Amino acid sequence: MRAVRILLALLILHGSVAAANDTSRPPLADQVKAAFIFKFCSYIEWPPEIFSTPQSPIVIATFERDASMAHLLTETVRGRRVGERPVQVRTLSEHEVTEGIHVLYLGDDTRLVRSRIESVKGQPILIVTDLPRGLEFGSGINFRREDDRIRFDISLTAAQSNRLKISSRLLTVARQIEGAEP
Amino acid sequence: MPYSSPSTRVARYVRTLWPPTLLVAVTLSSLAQSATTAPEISLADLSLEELSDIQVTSVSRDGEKLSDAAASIFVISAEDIRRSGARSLPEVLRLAPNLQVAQRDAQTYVISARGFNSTTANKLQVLIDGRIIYTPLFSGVFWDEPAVLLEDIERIEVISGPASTSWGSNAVNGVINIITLPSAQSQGGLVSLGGGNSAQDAAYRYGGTLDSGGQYRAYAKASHDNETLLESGPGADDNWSSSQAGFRLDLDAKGDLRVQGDAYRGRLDNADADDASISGFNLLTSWKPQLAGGEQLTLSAYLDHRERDFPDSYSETLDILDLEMQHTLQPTARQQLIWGMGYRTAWDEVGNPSNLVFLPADKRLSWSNLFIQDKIELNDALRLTLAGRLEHNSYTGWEAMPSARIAWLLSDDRLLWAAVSRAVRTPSRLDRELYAPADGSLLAGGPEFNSEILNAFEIGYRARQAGNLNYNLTLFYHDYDDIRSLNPTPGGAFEIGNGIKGSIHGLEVWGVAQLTDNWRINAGGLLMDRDLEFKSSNFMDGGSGNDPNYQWRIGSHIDLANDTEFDLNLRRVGELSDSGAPGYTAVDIRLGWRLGESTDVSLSGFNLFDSRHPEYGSSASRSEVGRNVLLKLVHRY
Repeated sequence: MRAVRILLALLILHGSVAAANDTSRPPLADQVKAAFIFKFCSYIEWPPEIFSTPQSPIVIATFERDASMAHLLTETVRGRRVGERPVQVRTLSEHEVTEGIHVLYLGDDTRLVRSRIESVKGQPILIVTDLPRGLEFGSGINFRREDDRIRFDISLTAAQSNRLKISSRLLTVARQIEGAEP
Repeated sequence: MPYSSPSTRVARYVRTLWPPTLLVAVTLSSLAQSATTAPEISLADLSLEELSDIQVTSVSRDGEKLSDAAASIFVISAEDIRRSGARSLPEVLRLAPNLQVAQRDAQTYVISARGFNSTTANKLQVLIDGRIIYTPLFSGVFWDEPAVLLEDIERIEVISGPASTSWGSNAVNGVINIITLPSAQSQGGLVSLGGGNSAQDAAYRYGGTLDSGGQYRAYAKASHDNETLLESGPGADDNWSSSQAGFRLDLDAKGDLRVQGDAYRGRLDNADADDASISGFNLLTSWKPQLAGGEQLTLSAYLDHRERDFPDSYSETLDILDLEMQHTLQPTARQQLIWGMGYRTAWDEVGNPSNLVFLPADKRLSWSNLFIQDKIELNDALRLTLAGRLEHNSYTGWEAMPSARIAWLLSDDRLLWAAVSRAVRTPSRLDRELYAPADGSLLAGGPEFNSEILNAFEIGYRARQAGNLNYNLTLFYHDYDDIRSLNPTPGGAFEIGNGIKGSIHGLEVWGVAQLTDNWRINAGGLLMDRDLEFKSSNFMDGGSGNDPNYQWRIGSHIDLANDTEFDLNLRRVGELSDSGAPGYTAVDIRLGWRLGESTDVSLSGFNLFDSRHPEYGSSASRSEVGRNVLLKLVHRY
């Protein structure tokens, strides 16, 4: 059958193309998100008691399924500081407890988002998601794509319940803000 | 390049098999490698505003992740629609490589997926925001009715292959799911004016926010399509004018509450006879309450009223009431369960002014359904989806539509899937109740006409490379039985029966490549073989349609400097089966300019290198599609 022959030809071809492909760069959208996540740290105020010194690091965590984001974040924060604090990136395994972290990127896996948001409720952690209705799940900042650009929505309700303060500078750039100002 | 020799070798092999589309896919993959060495800028140094303003157009269409759907899905985005220059829904659907679209005259299009294309094509389910738009008269769509404001479309999902478990009987060969923007994303005013040698359009939309917090939009549009020329020379008497208005309201009522409606009318200017006309309105509401724990519930209801009056031919008044519920839950960490049920009823009244009559003239039809789908994550890479639907209809009673699909994520960027499914095309009024003349001495509807049956086998592969090349391959084998035929009766007449069986098999391919930051190419093609046979040698064809055995398209989209866009679309459709129409090649070009923040102007030329060609129908009655130019202005405020 003609169709089968072509399919086979293309599959063979895919092998040869894929082999030459390792040096590719990640999608621009993910790079922008990583940059945003780093920048968010400058506009979030955590309860001061959770840091032992002014030089204690800010820790951004992702789960293993978002390994490419973890990699991008690592590249982004390399050698950078927020004020005096260095920034670290940590990758969590699926059942690891979320201790000692300040920003948690949960991506677009609905199930993960739902279970993890529940488990960190009340802890001073900024939850960042990438879901169409992320804020409804209790996320603090949710990425949205609009006009081929990466924008984000902020939930003040979620931030407050996790004892975070979000600077008005960040709010002015947000696409939508959910919850009343304090 | 280290891989150039095997790739060239295979390219040569592919070229000898079947040239254009695949060759492009091949070339693209190599071009995509070399064209993307971005300057090293550190995004973290940019301001929040600058980051918000970076255009991140990527090849990946539905979000950033490769879709894990185990089905052949092509998505037409709002950007694709805008840059096609298309001015009507059928013209937009030409962008889907897995659809066959042909124009018969100014008002009539024939559209199908995976074959059986005709003016009464009956194996494609079409929905606008969840509202089924086909008619129970022949289980197909009158394409002159659905006139959506193209600027308000968020995306169109085109699924080729059976999807009746989710979308109901008649989603036999495919589903077109047209999704419009939420009101929140269509705020402000929009004026769209278009004019050219063959058509003129005007549209206005305004969206705003209510004091109570919800959003709304309302629109009105009018179009005129000039008379086309018959292939035989004279004008086709088909000047077509249509207008439509509608609204959408998105409210927060302990969840998302949506209310929307449209009203339309159209008039066909018959120079020799009385004008034909259509009109109708619909009203839909849907509510998604906020539930805890990952549950989702959707309740929806709509009314749909349609009238068609074609003097000396037929007239119809149709009222439909449709109620549906769908419930999604997560019984275990690795399972997603969706179940739902629906009830639909139609009051159909046909006027029978000609020798072609529907008996009884008035008929009440109803459908009830119950479906369940379980998506199981067998492990991190394997997803199994088992689904089943039971549907009851007025003609054949209960019908079962099961399916099994498996998706295997080979890596983050590669997915292999396979599916086995059974779909049925339940009888329409045309199959059971059409007589010519009224005593059936020439043709009589089949009192025993049964559902047409499809057993489908599909294998697909979807991949993304380097973030700038996406492609999709689907191999399908459709095994049909009980397809409509005309069976001779002892009295010398014909009765409608289920006398055709056979298969349609083929390959669907498409891909899109971002060659540079401002140049994107997409290409797609379809190879298809029809192998249908009569169960008895004296049976005749009952409208199995005319299909090409190949078609392909290539689109190039370049952003030039100074906010100028240059788009080129080239498509080729092979000769249609059974002398349906000769093959043709069409070239469309669009130049677009962005004048400031809020105004777009574009100049499009369609079918530029061919003065005219026919696309569908018998040579005596079909119109030809000519060379058309359209100037369009869109202003937002």
